[in-house]
Amino acid sequence: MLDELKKLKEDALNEFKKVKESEELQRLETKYLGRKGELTKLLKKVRDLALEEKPRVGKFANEVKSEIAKTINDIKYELGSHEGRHEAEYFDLTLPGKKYKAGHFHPLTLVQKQLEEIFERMGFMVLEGPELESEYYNFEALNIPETHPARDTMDTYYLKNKKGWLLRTHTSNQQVRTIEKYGAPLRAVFPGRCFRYEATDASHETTFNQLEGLMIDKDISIANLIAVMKSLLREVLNKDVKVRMRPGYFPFVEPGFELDDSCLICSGKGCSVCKKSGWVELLPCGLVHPNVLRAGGLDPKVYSGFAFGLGLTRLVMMKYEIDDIRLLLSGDLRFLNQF
Amino acid sequence: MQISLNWLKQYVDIPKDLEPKDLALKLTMATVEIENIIDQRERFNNIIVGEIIDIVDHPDATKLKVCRVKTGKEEYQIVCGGANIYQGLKGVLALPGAQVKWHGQGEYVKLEKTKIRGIESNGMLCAAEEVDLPEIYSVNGGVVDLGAKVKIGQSIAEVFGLDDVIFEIDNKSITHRSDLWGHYGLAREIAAIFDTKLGQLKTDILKEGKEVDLKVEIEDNENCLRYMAVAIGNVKIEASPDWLQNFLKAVGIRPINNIVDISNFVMLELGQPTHAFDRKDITDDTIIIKRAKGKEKYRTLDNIERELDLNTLLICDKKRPVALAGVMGGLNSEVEEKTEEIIFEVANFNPVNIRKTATRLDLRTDAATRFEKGLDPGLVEIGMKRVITLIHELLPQARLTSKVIDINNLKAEARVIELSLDFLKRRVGIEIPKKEVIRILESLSFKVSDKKGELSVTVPDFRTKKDIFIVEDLVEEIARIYGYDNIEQVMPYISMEPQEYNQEREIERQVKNILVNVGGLNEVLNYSFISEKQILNLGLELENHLELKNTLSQDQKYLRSSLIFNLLHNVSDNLRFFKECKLFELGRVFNLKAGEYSFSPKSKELLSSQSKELAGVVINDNPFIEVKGLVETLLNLLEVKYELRINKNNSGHVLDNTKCLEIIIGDNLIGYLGEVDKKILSKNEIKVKVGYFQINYKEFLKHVADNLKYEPLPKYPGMTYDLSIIVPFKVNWADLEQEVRSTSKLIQQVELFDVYQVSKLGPNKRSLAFHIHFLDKKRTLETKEVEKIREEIVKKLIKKFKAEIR
Repeated sequence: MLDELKKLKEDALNEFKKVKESEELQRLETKYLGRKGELTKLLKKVRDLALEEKPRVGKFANEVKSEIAKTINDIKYELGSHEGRHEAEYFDLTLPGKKYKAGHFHPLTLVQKQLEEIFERMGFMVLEGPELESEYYNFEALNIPETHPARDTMDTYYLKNKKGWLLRTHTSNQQVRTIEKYGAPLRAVFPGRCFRYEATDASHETTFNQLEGLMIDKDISIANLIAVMKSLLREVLNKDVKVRMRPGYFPFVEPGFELDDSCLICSGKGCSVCKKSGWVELLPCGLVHPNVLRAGGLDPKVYSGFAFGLGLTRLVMMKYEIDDIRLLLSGDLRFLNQF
Repeated sequence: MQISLNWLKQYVDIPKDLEPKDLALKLTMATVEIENIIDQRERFNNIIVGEIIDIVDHPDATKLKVCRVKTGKEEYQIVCGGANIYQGLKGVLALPGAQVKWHGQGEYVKLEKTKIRGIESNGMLCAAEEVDLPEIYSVNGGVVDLGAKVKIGQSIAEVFGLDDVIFEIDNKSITHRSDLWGHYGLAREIAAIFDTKLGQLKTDILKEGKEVDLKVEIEDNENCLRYMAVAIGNVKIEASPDWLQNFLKAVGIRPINNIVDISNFVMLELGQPTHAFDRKDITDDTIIIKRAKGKEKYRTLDNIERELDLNTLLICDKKRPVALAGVMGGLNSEVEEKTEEIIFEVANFNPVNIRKTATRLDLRTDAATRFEKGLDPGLVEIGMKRVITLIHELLPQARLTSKVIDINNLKAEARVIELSLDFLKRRVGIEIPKKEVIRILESLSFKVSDKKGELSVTVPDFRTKKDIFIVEDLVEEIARIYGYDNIEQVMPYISMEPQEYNQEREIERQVKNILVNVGGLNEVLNYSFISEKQILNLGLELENHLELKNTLSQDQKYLRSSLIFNLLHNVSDNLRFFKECKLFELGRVFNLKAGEYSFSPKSKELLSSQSKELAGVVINDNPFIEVKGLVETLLNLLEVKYELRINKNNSGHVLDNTKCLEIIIGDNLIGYLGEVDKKILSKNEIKVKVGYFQINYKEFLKHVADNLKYEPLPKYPGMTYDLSIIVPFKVNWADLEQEVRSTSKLIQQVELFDVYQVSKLGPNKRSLAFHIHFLDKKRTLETKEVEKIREEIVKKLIKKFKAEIR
């Protein structure tokens, strides 16, 4: 039986070698592999073999079959190049590729990740904290006592029947919590969701995200703050923009600064976005107020530090040129699918 | 707040060649943000006084004349239609390049040379509306007639005193600097920045009178810290002189009369509000400062009836209130045209009280805005001196008819702060020469005594305690005037020690990556708020939710206890545009249980639990299989060992209890997956099947592992057999798989590849087809042994599950 198969294979291959035209090839294909072909005939005989022989012969027969099939294919390919195969097997290279359907990250996630990576490279921890917060950590510990006018400007959500409970108005609530936990030296950023009790429109939201940063060590100075803030902005905006620091007032820093960058829309020439000043207010910062250090249990004579706050939501809107802040929390797939 | 450059120049020398915009920039960089600069002169460029020296008729138009207009040496031919023109009229001549409004309407346009009906016109004689001049110059159908006195060729800005530059200050940037709420305070800053001299304020001393026995009683010492008053007689109410009116107009204050204007001027000069009463309205010449008795009503100057409360501080006479202290005067004691005697008040009130009243009444007057910043009580005295000086200047015939009363509840205490130059250097980061440090402090009116490296600095009273109290405050004063731009930047030196690893952040990124990039889900972020209806629709109790005290809408009354509320909302919103969607959210949810965060270091109170939840929704043909696959993929990729358990009694409230599974990790229930209950869906008006999963993120985090180890590749080939069987519905695949697997240790894997379910199989039956993979790591398998196992499996399945082999 094996011999018969071997012979069939040799005969077939010999005949195939001489083939010059497709018609002939087709005839031979039928002769050997067709339903009534030579090989099929032989295979039928396998059934009559002894049980223990079956697998071995069967396996060999399969090998013969695939070798013949491969030879036919090769010859077809060769003949094809001579005989206008293009027409019959034309392949449209312009068809679209297979679609792989991935989902989409929320734009806030994308920008937050970029920022976190910048800070991680600069050796900052990335920490999170409570959104439901106490008056103490949101205000008092930050040198904003109850009578301070700054409490008016931060329209705050309070909780019913929970004295002194509120939704944090800024990520600065993390400053004293973090100092309490980690002490000094300390380098950390706190991204997170904040809340303001104010009517919404295209540029105001009850819910938005900030990223607060805090660095504490011995003898952290204004010169340090300026250096870190400038290189930070270079990374965030991904270009060498002009920045300036001017006095700004925030109760939990002393001295306090507003950091402006040269308006990216008009390159500092003055336009409606920068109110013709050529500068855009980007980031408040300052040296940590000694009362804040004390609230965290540090001696302000020994330690000093700086803090800064980035408006994450605002950066997202700037980056993607989103003109309505409400889209971010709309859950609208027509919006989310774009990122 | 608006600041006039001309006004500032009354107090300080500003370098002559300094452009207003450069002055504004210097102030922005060292003191306060100047948001906008308005140059009055720019608006009147190329607009000057011209005199008509000749008028002839226009050859081609009956209503037009051709004028020759002289402006000095120059003469212009102007076509004009003004009905009131005459030879010798001195009017407002706009030359090419000037900004005018056509017919006094719309935006300014630039005037150009033109021909009007064939006659050349080199400018325009303007009507008041065309260049925005005061209404009194408006003549119906005619041009402005400036009268004979004006000089031809003079710029119109000069004629009208409109040659000022106005700086607009961002009020928020000076909330802590009550001394900057007047021109004098800013002048002091300018003197410090440019190292020039600050002029002293002129104060005249007038003889006190005796005829009026003025009495002041402060009943509320807590809220009235200092009160000065004086009666002034022989007063004649009239318009203020132009210089005063111009200053007030320049900063947006309407001139009223000499007395009110003096009051406003002093406020805008010093930041100290003052108030004048008509003496005849003050019963018994007695002023009492006390709080309102309760819900009284009182009519303020603006003729609006205000409701008072127990905290409202009032200025009263013997009988009745005469003013809302620090906020607004009263209609019943207003200075009027026929007023002949006045009582001037200069006082200091508790900023908190004033702020509360102003906020409650929504009455943020210029006075309240200043009082609420906390003014120096010393200003009261300076303010009174300035009032008297200006009265003397403007109303020379007036005289004091009472003593100048001064009730002062505050003792001035000197604030002395020790500043070491070493500390200054460490906080600024560079060394500022001692001489410069002293110069800066002294130019800001600090007194400095030098004690070898330590400076003893006395703070001027007008810099309040809230503003300057600690040594760090001095660091800021010195550094900002020195110039932040002059401080060389230095990167901090830090220890190389690696920071604490934040596993939570890392895992969060991985979770989102898997869900988005493997699962194809969209990430959403929803509000943390939910409505009462949303809670009730899920069959949950309102009292298990944290409620907000103040809320903008009923949709945002409670804090979310789960992400499902707003995810369902997303589903119904998006079904308008999409047939399928897959969404997830990772966010904090709130409940009443105590959480991990403390209320304050001193209290034992804990804030409510606000841990993160991970949840997702799926809408497609087979959402159960989809969410199950998602959860399995997520957990497998993060190497979490988990079990999905059937427990029909526990569907997490929201799931259909025939289509839900508990997610069990390490014996703990940490979530659910399945299809949302139809009743809940219909309450949310959703008409399709919704798959849902929810995982307690914090618990889940504890079980994420990173234990993967390499397994050697198989040295011997394995074998695979397929089996296709028909079983009754109630046979669960998991049981069947378990049975197959347990047959032999050589079975590596049982892999379901087809589930098939049609009626021709028989009632309530389905077909399951699966691969069985066999492998022995130590040898090549023999066909015989594998076939034997296969037969064994078949027998078991027939016996145990009534399976039919296909």
